Amino acid sequence: MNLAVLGIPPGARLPVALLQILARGALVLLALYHVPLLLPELHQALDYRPLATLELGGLLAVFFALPELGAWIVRRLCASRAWIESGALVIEGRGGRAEVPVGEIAEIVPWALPVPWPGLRLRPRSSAHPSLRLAAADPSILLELLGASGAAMPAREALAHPSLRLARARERSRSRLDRPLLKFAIFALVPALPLFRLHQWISFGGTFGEYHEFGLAAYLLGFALYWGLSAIYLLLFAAGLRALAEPLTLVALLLPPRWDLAVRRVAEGLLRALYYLTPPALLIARLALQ
Amino acid sequence: MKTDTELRFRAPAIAGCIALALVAAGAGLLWWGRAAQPMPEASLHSAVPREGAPGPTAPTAPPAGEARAEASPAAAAARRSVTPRRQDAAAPRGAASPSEEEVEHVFENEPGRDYGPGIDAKGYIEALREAGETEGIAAFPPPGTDPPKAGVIVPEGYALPEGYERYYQYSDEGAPLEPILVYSPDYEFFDDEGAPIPIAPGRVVPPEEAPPDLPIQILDPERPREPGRLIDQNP
Repeated sequence: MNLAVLGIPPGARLPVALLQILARGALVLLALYHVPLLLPELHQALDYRPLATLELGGLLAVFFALPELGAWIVRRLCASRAWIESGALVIEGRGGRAEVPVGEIAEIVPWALPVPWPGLRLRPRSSAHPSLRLAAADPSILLELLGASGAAMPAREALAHPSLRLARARERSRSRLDRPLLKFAIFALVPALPLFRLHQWISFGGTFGEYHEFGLAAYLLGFALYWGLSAIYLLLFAAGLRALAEPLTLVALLLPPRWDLAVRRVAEGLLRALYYLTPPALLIARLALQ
Repeated sequence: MKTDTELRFRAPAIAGCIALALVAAGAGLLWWGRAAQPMPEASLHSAVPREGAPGPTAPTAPPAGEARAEASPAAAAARRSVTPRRQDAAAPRGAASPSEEEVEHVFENEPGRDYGPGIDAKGYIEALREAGETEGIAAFPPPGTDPPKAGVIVPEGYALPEGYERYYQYSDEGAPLEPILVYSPDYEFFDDEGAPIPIAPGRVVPPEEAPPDLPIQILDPERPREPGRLIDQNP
């Protein structure tokens, strides 16, 4: 069995964690900043100033796209494979190869905070072997592998850790609807297409008005702006929903671990429903009912 | 393949730190870009000099209530001869700045705040600017900030020699004033000895440097005017 893990060298976790906190934090803050657009009362009370498109783009580029890209590059650099070979855990990646006999693993310490990814640290009994930091979307698979290969005690202790319980439930309740391409790029067409057509009718007098008047390049650029902006707003919407829902799922940690997956599935299902139904509902309410 | 080198693999840490540094630099750029946004210019409300004959919006008759004063004959006699020379024509005047997206900024009157019945635009604009507002009416300087300039009136129909322009102004009340004579920014000016003539800020031509055939009538915007009225109404 060959697992995809991230071998995190010392000194790499802190910068990536900062990058990721920055990127996600920026999304949540920007999402929060857009709340008054949906609540006119707040709009008045706060002397609200909406962000211009360029301002929003600049903020997102610097505080979201750039750190996210940096984290992605680090992730690529750390990408490794892990497997058990003749009683030893072997990690092999770009940075080299490390081997620890499974029996030599004294302790498995999950990271208290799953930042930048859920991860754990393998402490060997002697200094002859390296202490390894490994991260993965669901480190519990690695733990099960270790548990089956002779490190049952440390693995079972680590499996009960809250951050691993969260990661495991989250990873197992993923759906195709959560894939970024569908969730942001393709779904953005749902609001973008009718709004763009409306804009074409109002500004240029027909579905292809801008094309007839200013050519294909102008038409496609206009459409790209509508599409991109829709995707950006959806991204902010998703970030806001996630920021609301994630603390609630922490409550599930109070329940016995066997409830983890069920609670998470319900939560993710609700999030998905809210995410995919709210934009069309708002659009219909705005365009059809008024 | 080496063993245990994973612990010393530096690339991820370095890449992470570089990315952090780039983000910090980007944040600095954004901040700097915000700070460097130009404030509204103080001369926004004075008319821009136009070339050629007066356009359709130019006043067709000298507005009432506007002062004319004859300059002293001595000043007219002491006129210097001025030779204009065109500057590099390639340099565009007032090159259009890259279009910036306009930021819609709505200033709500604070509920319950009474600005008082006697307040005029000056006080209102100052109050807005104190509140941090720089757009809308607050983009304009308060009345009296940039008063109309005095200068030699160029009568309608007068054929301007090369190097001179009419400069149209409006009073704070919006009444059009007669155009005054200014040096064109496209030219440099030299006297008989070939020495460059210093040009005052605002490029207003002093009476002694006006073309010899131009009758000297000075626009005196300081003189009290009649109450303002809308442009092109009740001439």
